[in-house]
Amino acid sequence: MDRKQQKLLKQDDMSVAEDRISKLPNTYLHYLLSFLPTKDAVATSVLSTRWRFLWTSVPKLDFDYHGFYGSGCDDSCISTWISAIVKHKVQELDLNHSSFRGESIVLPLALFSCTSLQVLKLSSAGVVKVPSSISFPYLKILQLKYLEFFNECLTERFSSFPVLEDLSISKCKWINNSNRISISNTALKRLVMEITDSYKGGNIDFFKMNAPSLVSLSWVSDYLPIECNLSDMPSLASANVIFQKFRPERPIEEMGLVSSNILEALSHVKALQISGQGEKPYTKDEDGWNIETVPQCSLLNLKKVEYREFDGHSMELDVIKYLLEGLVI
Amino acid sequence: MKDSFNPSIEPPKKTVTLVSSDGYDFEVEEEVALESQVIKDGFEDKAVDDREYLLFNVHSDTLELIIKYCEKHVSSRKSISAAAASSSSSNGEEALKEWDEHFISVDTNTLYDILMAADYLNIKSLLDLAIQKVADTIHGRSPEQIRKKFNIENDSIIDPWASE
Repeated sequence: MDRKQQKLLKQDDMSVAEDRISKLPNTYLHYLLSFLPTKDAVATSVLSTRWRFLWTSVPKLDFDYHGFYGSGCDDSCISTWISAIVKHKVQELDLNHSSFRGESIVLPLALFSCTSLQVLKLSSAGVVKVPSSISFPYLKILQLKYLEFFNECLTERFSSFPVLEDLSISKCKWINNSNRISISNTALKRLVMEITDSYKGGNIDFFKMNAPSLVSLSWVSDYLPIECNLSDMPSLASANVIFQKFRPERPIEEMGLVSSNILEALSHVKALQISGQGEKPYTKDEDGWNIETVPQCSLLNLKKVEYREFDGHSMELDVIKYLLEGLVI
Repeated sequence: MKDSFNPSIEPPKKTVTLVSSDGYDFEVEEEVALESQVIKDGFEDKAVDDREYLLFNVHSDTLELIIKYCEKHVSSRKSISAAAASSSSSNGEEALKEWDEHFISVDTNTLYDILMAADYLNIKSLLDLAIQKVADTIHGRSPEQIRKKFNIENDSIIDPWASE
């Protein structure tokens, strides 16, 4: 009998409907359920006795507000849910919350001492009250977006996250402080800071960073800080630094010093993208990047230079001349 | 005996023989067979003339599909990286995704066979493709529809949703 004949016979056998899915080993079914939104996964519990408790072993829960709309769930549920998952030693938490009534979300204290957490992503349109004591011994990835902090204590605590590698702070606001951020972490490899909408109070005036293991830095901000203190970053390979505005109200010397401090700290990079707009471009006392202050030898690692929006102004020619002299491209 | 795949244009490529559970030989190119992590592990330690794998859990019908999948992925990867190297634009990834979707649109029995074989041979992308397909079938369906689709017999004594 050849394969085709066998195939025909086999198809005849299959005319009797068989429940093959329920016979799959648990590992497959758990994996399968993890591909479904939690609501669908839980709903499979009514299929048959075989399915009743399968969903309880799924390693991932995915709660979508829309799935619970009208079920009497409000903000206080979220707090209860978080407390429950913290008790179950959650490793990854992605909380995307927006309160329609503009209420601040009260995160349970237990979250900030969740020792099992490896990934924490918080995105919320509200005020987050951070306790003074935080412990995340296994936290590797931390993303904070659209959050309002009452104090700087969260950033101050970054140093106590021993294995933190990825940190992203986007469009957050600091209320009741002097626009001061200090980030210190020896394990940190990748940092993304997006400080925009500063008119709402999210501007950073004093920035201090000690991250000696940093490999990549992306820093997009409305304003250059007034004071900037960056540690040496010998492993820094790529940096993307964009300031929308320099500060016309501050003395030029002061801002020049800040910009040259930043450039000096970036001196090990292989790929660098910088951008900034002066308030009064093309004048001799332009405020802006003070590239001449960068020691020439430290730009040796740079492999490619791209200068955009070149207008042929003498100031620009000076910069390019400097770059060409200093670089071995 | 199944004809060997790619009835050869020069140069002759190194091949591996895969034997299905029902005893058919499939001769495939080495790089195609290496899509399976199980075959890849310890491949180098095996003598060149001993590169024959008895796949006790994979029927020839399923094996034929699995080989088709692996061949497509090997060749697509090559053309995608070639396009990237010459920086020419390519919709290779999109096309492959479409091909995958078409490939996995099979009856439920074949889908289980592929799923089990992908696991047995440890081909992660194919396993995920098959599982995703089953998940898509479940998603958005009522319990009764799911039971019907998969021939699941409801043996629960109380169906908490029965009153609905």
